[in-house]
Amino acid sequence: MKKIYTCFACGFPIAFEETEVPAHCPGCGAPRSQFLEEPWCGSIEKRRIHVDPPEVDPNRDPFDISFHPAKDFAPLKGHGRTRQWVMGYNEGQAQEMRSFYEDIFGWDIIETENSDPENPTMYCATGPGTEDWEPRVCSFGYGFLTPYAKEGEVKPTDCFVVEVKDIEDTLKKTVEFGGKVLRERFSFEGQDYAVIEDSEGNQLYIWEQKDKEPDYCTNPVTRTGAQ
Amino acid sequence: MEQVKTTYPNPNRPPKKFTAKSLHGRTRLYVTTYKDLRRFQNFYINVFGWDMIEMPVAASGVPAGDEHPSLLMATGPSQYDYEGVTPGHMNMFVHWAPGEIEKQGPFTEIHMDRPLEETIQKIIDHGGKLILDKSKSALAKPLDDSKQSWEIHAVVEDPAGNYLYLWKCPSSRTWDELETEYDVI
Repeated sequence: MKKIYTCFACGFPIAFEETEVPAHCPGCGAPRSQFLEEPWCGSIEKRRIHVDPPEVDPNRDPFDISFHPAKDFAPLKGHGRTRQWVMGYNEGQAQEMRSFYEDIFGWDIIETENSDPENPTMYCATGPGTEDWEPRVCSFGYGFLTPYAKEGEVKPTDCFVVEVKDIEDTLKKTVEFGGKVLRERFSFEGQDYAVIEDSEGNQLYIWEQKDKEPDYCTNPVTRTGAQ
Repeated sequence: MEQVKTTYPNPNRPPKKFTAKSLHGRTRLYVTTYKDLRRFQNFYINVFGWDMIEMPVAASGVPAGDEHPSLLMATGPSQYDYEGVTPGHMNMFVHWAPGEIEKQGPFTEIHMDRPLEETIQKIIDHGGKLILDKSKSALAKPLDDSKQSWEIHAVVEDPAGNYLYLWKCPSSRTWDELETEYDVI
């Protein structure tokens, strides 16, 4: 019989057949003994058992990885968000890559404006989007397919793109906290980026969005641990 | 009349409608690795302000309290289960690299209502490869979707050698979740 199981430790509700209930909460890792159960009523939203999640302690140790609702990100004004990903391809392989991702995953793929027509940088919509090609739904992202770097270029592939409010300030912090600057500020399709390496050697782009403030900074969202 | 080409960042049309009741193909999170946990945390907490929890064993396969935990890292506003709550950002799926740091790549959702083997075969037929060598990725493993799991189900390579970390949602999805919205025609 299908039931709704709500975790007393974190408040996360899941619906499962009785025979398939996991041994631990997939939200926080608490053991099954912490689950409160009720009959399936056709919708998680219609459940009658609701558990208040733990409150956010604004003074908690940020290195403590025990379960807690994520913090309030509004004060960062978008800084630090992982916005996109980048993957590479070999020269002459553009059509093969386009076919692979369109046929298997159903992506919508367009070229960037000033791309080399033979080996374009391609922008990929992987799910529902807005008029200006930003994800319209939470918890997923879009990304780029781009030709691998030629000799002498610093052009990381297999990496992610993080929004920052100020490139120079972020480069300074990158070095201060054990990373490296691989390429200073540069412009691509009218946007400013830099390339860095984190403390472990992973490469990533940073993308400056100086004057853009996400809507959630002025209109707080619900269903998070922060509000 | 000559057709106007759609290009980024000033496209002349929105993306296509994703009307299937499926999250197949969405790049949900981004996968990266660390060697030294404290050093890694110190970097991302101080440079980008990320928040993080130990990833539950149901999603990582790593027992709670392990000295090399996997992490779920919020990079923006998030729900209680560390799914994003506002559109436009991906959270991070992080694990310890036993050897050198591993190839990064998107955590990509695949069909939840089709056999895993069917999706993998399609990838192979289009020039991709299934990665089984754990020295290339600690997440590599033989195909098995015989039981409900929140773990990554397969690591594959695209025709250019990029890694995709494939995830198949268990049947617990109710479609009430914020992240499951899809386009209506």
